[in-house]
Amino acid sequence: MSFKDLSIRIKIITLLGATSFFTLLLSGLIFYAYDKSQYEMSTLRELNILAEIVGSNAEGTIIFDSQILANEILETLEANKNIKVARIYNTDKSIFAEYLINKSFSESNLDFISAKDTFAFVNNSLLLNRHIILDNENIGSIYLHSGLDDYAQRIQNFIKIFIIILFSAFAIGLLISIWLQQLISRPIISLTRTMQQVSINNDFNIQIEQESKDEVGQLIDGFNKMISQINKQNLALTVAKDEAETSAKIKEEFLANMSHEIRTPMNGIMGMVKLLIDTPLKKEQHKYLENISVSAHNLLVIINDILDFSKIEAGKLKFESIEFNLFDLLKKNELIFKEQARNKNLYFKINIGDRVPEFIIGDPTRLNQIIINLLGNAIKFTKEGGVSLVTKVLEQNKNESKISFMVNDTGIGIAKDKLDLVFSSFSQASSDMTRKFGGTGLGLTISKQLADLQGGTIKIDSVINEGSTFYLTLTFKHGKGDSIKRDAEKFNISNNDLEYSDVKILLAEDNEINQLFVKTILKSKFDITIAPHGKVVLDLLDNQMFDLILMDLHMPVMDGYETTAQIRKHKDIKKRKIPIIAVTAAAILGEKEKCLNSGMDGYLSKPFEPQDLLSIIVQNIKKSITTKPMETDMVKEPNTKKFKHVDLTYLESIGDGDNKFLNELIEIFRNQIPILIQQLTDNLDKKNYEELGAIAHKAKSSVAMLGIVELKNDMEFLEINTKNRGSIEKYPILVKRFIDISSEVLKEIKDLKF
Amino acid sequence: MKHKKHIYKLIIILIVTLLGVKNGMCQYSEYEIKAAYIFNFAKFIEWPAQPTNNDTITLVIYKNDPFGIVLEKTMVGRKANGKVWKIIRADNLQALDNCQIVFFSDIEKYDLLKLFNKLKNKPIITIGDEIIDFCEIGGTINFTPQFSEYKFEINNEIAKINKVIISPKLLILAKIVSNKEDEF
Repeated sequence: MSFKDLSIRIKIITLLGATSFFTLLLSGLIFYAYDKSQYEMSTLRELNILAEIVGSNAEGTIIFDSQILANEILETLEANKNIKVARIYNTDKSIFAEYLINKSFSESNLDFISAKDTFAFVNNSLLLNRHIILDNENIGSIYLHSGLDDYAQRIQNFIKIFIIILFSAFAIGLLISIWLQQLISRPIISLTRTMQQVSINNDFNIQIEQESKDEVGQLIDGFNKMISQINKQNLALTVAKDEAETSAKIKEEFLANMSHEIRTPMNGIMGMVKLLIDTPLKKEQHKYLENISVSAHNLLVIINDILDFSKIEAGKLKFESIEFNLFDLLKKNELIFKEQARNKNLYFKINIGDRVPEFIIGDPTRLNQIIINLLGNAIKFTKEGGVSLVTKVLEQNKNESKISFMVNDTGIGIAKDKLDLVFSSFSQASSDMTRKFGGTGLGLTISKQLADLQGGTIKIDSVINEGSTFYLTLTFKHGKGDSIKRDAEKFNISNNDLEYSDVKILLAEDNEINQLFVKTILKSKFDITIAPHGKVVLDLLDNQMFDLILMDLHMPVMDGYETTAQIRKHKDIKKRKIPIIAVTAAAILGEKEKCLNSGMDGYLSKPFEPQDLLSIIVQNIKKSITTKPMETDMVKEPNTKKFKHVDLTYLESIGDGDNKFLNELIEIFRNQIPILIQQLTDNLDKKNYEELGAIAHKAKSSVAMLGIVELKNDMEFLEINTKNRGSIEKYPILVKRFIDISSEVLKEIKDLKF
Repeated sequence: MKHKKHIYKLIIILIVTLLGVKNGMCQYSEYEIKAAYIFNFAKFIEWPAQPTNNDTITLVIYKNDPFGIVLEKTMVGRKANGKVWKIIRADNLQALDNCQIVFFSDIEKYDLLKLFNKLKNKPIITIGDEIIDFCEIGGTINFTPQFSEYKFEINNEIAKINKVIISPKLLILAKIVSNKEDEF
């Protein structure tokens, strides 16, 4: 700690103390020097007089050569104890008479005798040589050696007294400075303390008393003004902040309510459409219903986009970090988008790089959302050609991989100067784009922000009218693969056609359409009871036992939270432990945690797919009743393993457990293959390539349905090349392969029945 | 008596010379020394101011002159207290009227008494050359014989009566002698 850092109190005290100390020291030294010179001058003067007198008295003795008398005269100097040596010299510098204060005193300054009157202060002594002049004639000289012991004594005393004076004056000066420094330092210290108080307590409601009108007073005045200004601003800011927070909260609540209000009827619409589609309908009616379904789905996507966007804007979006199977995720999208691409007559390719890890840790929902958005856009803006998704590893180490998802299309492209705009909110490349292609313009913004928030990037490369490429880059930690396999097992169980007719489920739901929707999904498998609100749930529980409760959170009379709380306190211990699954349309952040914290076991957000509902039910009743997963796996195994060409994964996913539908599809396929073989052969023979392409297109979707990858690729090649008569020499080979493999497939699926 | 003195002196000179000790005094003759003494006495003596001849010291050698040329050698051309020397050899009282110093050597006591009586109250210093009772009978300064404790004696009372001031510096070197009233 340097002097600069010391407290102002100590600085002032030190300053005053040092000043008084050095002033005293300096005055002492000056006094000493003055006193010494005075003393020397007076000593010299006295000694001169003495020499004069003695010399004069001795004149006669010299002239008349009386050494005895001369010695006697010198001996009179005995009275003066300072005189150590006195000598009278002849003109030839020989000693005429001598006096020594004591005999042992030896004198070494003999050289000092010179032609002139002179003196010197040497070794604490004053030496003086003076000529004796008689009648203008130099008759000899007198030499006196006077010790300055007197002076040494005097100096000693002086130093003692000086030190006493110095320290007492210094002490007094210090006391005075300690007292005086308060005048300056006290206001400054109080200012400093107040400032510390302000910064520690954030208390701006402080004023310091102003004691003087000097600079410190002005400082305090300024400080007071400043702090009251800050206080005013703080109050204004607090009010503004409260207002802003209130309005933000109102907005948030509005959004949550809106999402609930919109999702609930949407759920109803979609559920009803799904049920209605299974009833006997005219072809026209069926088509209308499909349109309704698509519109409802699109509407839901838009609502979800808006909700996501507002969540991101509010900074309330959180990411999961769970292990998932990246390949499954990509394959699922492949199925969905291949279908969409086919409908638009586009190709769709997906490629997974060699080093891409299968199991990774991250947020699969959000990754899926981005990929769906990019692929959806790519297909939306592409009229001919197609879309591809290439996944590859950019950087990799033991623990993590930087993965690039490259979505390439041959669509309309984006002008260079509009590239930056695509990621900004509510904007598409041009405003008439919105009219032509629809959409909120939020998709890419959300995707970009989702990528950014996960530490990744989205970049774009585009040439107008040639196509665009979006590069999504994200870094994932590597998973172990175990947890996924367990999930997969659960999924298999839920997919199974196990009958749980003895399982009793209670549905607490006030909306009648939703009651119908859930009941329709579950009635074939479970025993369903319906309660319109929580009170009824509790009444029912008094008389009977349920294996699981589906609980809507927002109900009249008694809501889901309250009902759950009551059940968890039920007098019957068995009934306390009934699994409760929250079913809600209020898909806002924290709702899920709130449910789980209030004692519920699961959470399902409306609108949901039947599969989601089944899955969560199966997962939860597994906990309360014993099931036999091994057996269910045994049933499942043969379906996937006995085929060489066929892969039923896709069929099963779209069939959604509807075995009747699946069996019909297989039957259609059995009948279709011979016809397709016939048509392909005929058109190849007639070199009717246009027709051959059309047949190949039809055949492609059929074989894709059954997951016969080789044939699918062959047919795709045929379809594309026949358009411009490319690679004609390969057509017979491809047709031949189709005949061979499809015949084998027919044998494989001869006995296939779901 | 005079011869005896000379022999002593010679013996001393011989001894000192043989011992190889340098002694300046020994290089001079008795009267050379006495001449020097008289010369130096003048420096410590203050005569009252005279109407004339204030810058001259007149030395009268009365009757018997033991100095010869030595006196002139010592005095002539030199000043004492800024005054030049005038040497007169005389054998009558008139010559003493305007002098400052009178030197007597080898003179009868009776003659001296008569002279002192005559010179009484005159500012004149009388110097005797080893004359017994010189100062006691009214002389001022008298050379003492060789090896005396003092080299000369002074009767300051006479000097005071004669208004001549002898410096204490000179007095301390002399044997102070008083008048012997009964001798008068």
